[in-house]
Amino acid sequence: MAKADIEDEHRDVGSDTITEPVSISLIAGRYLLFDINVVTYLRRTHNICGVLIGGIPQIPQQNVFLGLPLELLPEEARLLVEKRVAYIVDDTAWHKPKFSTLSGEERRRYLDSLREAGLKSKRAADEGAKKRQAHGLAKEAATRRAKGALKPDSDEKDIPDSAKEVSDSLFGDERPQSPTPSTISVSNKPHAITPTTTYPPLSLPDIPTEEAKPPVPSSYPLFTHLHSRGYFTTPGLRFGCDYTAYPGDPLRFHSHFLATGYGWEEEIPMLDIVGGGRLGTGVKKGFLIGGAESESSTEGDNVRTFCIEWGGM
Amino acid sequence: MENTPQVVIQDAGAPAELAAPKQPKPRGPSKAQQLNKLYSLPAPLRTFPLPTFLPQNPLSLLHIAYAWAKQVIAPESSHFPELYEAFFSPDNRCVFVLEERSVRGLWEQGFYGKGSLSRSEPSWLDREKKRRGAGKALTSEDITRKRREERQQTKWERARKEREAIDAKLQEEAIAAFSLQSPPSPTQPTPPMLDRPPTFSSWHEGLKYVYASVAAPVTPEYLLKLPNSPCDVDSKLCVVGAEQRVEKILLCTSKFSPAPAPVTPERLLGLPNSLHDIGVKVITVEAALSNKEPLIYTLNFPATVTKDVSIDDSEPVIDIDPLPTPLGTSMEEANGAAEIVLNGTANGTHRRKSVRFSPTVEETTFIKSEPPSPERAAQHENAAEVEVAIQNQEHYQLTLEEAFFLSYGLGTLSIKSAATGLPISASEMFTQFRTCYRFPPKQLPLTLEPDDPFVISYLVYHHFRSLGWVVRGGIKFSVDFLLYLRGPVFSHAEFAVIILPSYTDPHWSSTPELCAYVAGKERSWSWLHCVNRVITQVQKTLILVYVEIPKPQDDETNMAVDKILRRYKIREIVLKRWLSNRSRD
Repeated sequence: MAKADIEDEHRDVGSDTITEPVSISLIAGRYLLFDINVVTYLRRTHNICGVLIGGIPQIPQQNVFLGLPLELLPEEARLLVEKRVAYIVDDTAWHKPKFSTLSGEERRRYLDSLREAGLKSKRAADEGAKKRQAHGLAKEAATRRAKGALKPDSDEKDIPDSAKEVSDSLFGDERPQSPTPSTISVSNKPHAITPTTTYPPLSLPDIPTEEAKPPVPSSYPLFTHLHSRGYFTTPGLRFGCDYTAYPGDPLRFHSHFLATGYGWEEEIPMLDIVGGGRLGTGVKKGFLIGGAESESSTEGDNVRTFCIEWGGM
Repeated sequence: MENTPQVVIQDAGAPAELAAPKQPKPRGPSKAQQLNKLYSLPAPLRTFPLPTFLPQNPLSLLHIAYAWAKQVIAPESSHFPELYEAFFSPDNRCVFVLEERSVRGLWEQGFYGKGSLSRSEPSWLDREKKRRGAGKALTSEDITRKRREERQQTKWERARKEREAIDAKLQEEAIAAFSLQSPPSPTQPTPPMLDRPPTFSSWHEGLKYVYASVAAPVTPEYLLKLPNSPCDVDSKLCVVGAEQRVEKILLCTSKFSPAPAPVTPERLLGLPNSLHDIGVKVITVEAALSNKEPLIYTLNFPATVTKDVSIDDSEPVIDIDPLPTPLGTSMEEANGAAEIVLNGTANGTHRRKSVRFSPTVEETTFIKSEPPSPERAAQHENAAEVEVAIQNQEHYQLTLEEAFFLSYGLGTLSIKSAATGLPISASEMFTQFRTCYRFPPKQLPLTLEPDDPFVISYLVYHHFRSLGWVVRGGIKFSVDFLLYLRGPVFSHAEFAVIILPSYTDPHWSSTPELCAYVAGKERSWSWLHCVNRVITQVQKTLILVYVEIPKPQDDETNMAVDKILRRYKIREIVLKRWLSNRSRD
């Protein structure tokens, strides 16, 4: 328990304590990450962006800004696995037998951990409320003082009115007027918590030494090539390509290239080159095609890339 | 007032017009009327409409009856008495037209084909005449070029304005920083920022300052000067001490900064390709100055030049890289058509052309209406002589679909073999076109596959032509065809057509090999997005045309063309990019 708590604390503080390899959940053919610390860690350290696909509970009626979980491209998952930064966990296969047969000590520990998390959240909420209350009272006191300085005669009448007003504005919105607004009595009941992951109670499966790597499309060599050169990539469906390549974090830069991978001997239709070149130039990016040379004497990365620009625009 | 302003401009030079400006001119047909008259026939076919019935004139009934009877008794052919003529050359994979009448007819009656040296309408001769100062006709290429020039000019103007705005802002900030650094006057209260004035003692801070002082590369010139990686910067800097390093880089940047950003295409072309070039140029100028020779070279930084050398605008300046050449022995004599380069006078009427077939860059600037070089001006005085001399170098090309449609579908074109000069029959042509349509051409004998690319493409072409659209090739927009409502001279293309073979017949999923074959024909979503975005960018609508591929038949190779084509079906799907955010009212 105590150990878990400490771990929890650490994970909240920062992503420095992420221990490689991290686990990637494979659910319904998607590679998902549920831990925000892992997400930031991979983004910061390994230039892996992924795509946030979860709705945000506070603003559910939009899909411009999305939250956890983070979906990784098969290429990204494969790259992480190959670099031994991550390993794949088939969530359904792992979760079902473990969770349904949870009993005894394990079960109790799991429920305890839930309760603990709920209490923690409760405490945090209460603290916030207290702070707001103190802030409101201070403000009220300040206005009263100012008013008192202005009109010293009529302070007897004003005080109760304004105090009532403030108390309304303070508590009216946040909780219903109850006869006993005592925080102590409520604090016993923890918040209901829905954990994003079930891993803490179910200790993770052992890291497999040699596992099946995620299947990837034929443009994977180009992806690894771009990644090895320090480019950040995001899926390029919006621009009709395989990847959009950014010179740094996509939050800081516009993308420079629309990258499309081809096989070395693959025939590229002329129309595709025209279309890609037009589109790339139209959005002020380079249309980049690349593929791995099949017979190459050079060591390591044998991907060659070409950039195409449409001249008449 | 004037509906044709360009006519007025052209006539302004004529003294007769100036003498009598008040005389109301007979108003000619408007541009739309002219176009309608020129392109009145939508297809190269003759039609025989019945005369109009006039109720107040009973005799018109007789006229109608006569016209009707004439058509019934002795029907006239709807083809022109003399068919248009084209030649098919399997070696060039091309159908070409040489005869002037056929060229004009095919272009004006349905917009078939294109000039081999033009964008669409064969206008090479007009442009050539104009180039030599003998003609004045404004071709569509001229208009396009003008528009592009204007667009480019606008972009440079915008770049210049952005640059100016940045400079102004920087200056403002520099003044603000200076006022902060200056010792506080006793009357002013000390701002809290002044506790820690910017110091550059530490290496990192210095580096930061250096990076900050380099302007963002908004122009190609600046981009070329930037180091390729931080590593370059570091390696340069590791040699000397920290303070010196900073100073050095600061020096470098200050050395570069006076060069103005290029704001005209001329200047962009005059820019060096690398730092090395700059060094060479500067040195040559210095050498020239020290020798006191009357040599003038174009420089990449006009500001520097005007400071050091006085440029006489009327004097010819030759740009030769990297070796200086005296004026007398310039390329002007070498290739006879070299031209004056005036870097400083960025005049709108001057255009620059660079030819990059040789390692050295040879540039010319010429005024459109003027002959290429003043020496030759005398030769070109009388335009009539030139007109005789110009021979039309252009021929007219038809795509295979167009040629087949005109000869097989409409029957108004007779296609002859380029080798023998004998007419080709429809079935023979069908086979030959199918062979030529692929690259590299398949060798005969060729069994007809149901998804033969020529057959599919021709089907779609025929389909839209028979619905009355003007169909032209769409490779420039990465689609198969473009559909024009009446023709390219009337409006922009409305739709872009992509042909997709559809293998829905059960035959195509009967065996694993066939399934794999069909799967190999599938296109990706990203491809579709790409095409759709390209088409949306140019404000057209994408149509996916699915051609149902029938199952193969045994005797298909020997079947008549009609029977083969009858087995196919065509479905159309209009695709549009729709964003909920943007499309909301």
